[in-house]
Amino acid sequence: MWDIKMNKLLTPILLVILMSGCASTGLKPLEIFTTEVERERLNLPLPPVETMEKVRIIVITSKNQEEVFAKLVKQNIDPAIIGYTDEDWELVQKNSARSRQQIIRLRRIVEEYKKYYEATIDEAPEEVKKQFSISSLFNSDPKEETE
Amino acid sequence: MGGIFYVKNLQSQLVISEMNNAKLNEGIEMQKELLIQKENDFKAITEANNNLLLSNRQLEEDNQRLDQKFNKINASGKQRDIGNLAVQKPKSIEMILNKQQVERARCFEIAQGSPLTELEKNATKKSQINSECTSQANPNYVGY
Repeated sequence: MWDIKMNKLLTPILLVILMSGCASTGLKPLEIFTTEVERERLNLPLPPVETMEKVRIIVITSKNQEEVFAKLVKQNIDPAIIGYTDEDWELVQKNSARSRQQIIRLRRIVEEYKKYYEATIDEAPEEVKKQFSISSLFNSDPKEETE
Repeated sequence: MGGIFYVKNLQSQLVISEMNNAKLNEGIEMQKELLIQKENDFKAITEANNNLLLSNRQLEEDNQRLDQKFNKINASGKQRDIGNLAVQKPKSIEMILNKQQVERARCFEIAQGSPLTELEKNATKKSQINSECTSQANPNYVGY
């Protein structure tokens, strides 16, 4: 009789001790680590410098036209001139200056971006230079293409 | 028995409080670093903007110079007319235009980032400069 009473009293006490014991000692506080992983640098090289083709300018007037055309025939050049008037020539020069200035502006912006985000402005490696080179598109060897 | 539990509980609370304090201090330090970083970023952005502004102003001046070059008034008070000059002296104008063409090609290379040669860097006389893009090609030339 006494045993049954003791059991009824002890069982809940033991249960409480067990449960609280587990809560106070076994469980450690959960910690979440957040580690910043730096984004991979893009580091695209700037394109190589394109060398411009040398263009020959010929001035033709009503007085010298025969002489100019005769010279062209003598040099085995087709006697046809694709030209501008003096006013259009000025506009061509202005357009050329504008495109050049736009290249400068865009290049400066790219350089400033690179300086800010990557802190380096790398020279293009040779293989990349070839890949980006515009002149290589025009100078391709026909033999290479057929091979 | 109850007293022991109470003291134990107090001790654990104190440890947590100390840990929290340490974390707060760490947080303050990180905030300070962040502020310094923000300040540096702001400085870098201002510098980049100033560089671009300066470069754009220089290009704008070049444009104005180009306009003046075409509409220059000659000694007799007349506006320069390249067409008229070409009719008068076709050979000389041809030579001048071909020289300009070479200079313009070089300007394109410089615009793309080609490094300046020593001659370009040291040019101080009008006869030595690239008249097509003097501000980019000849940094030491002072116009008059």
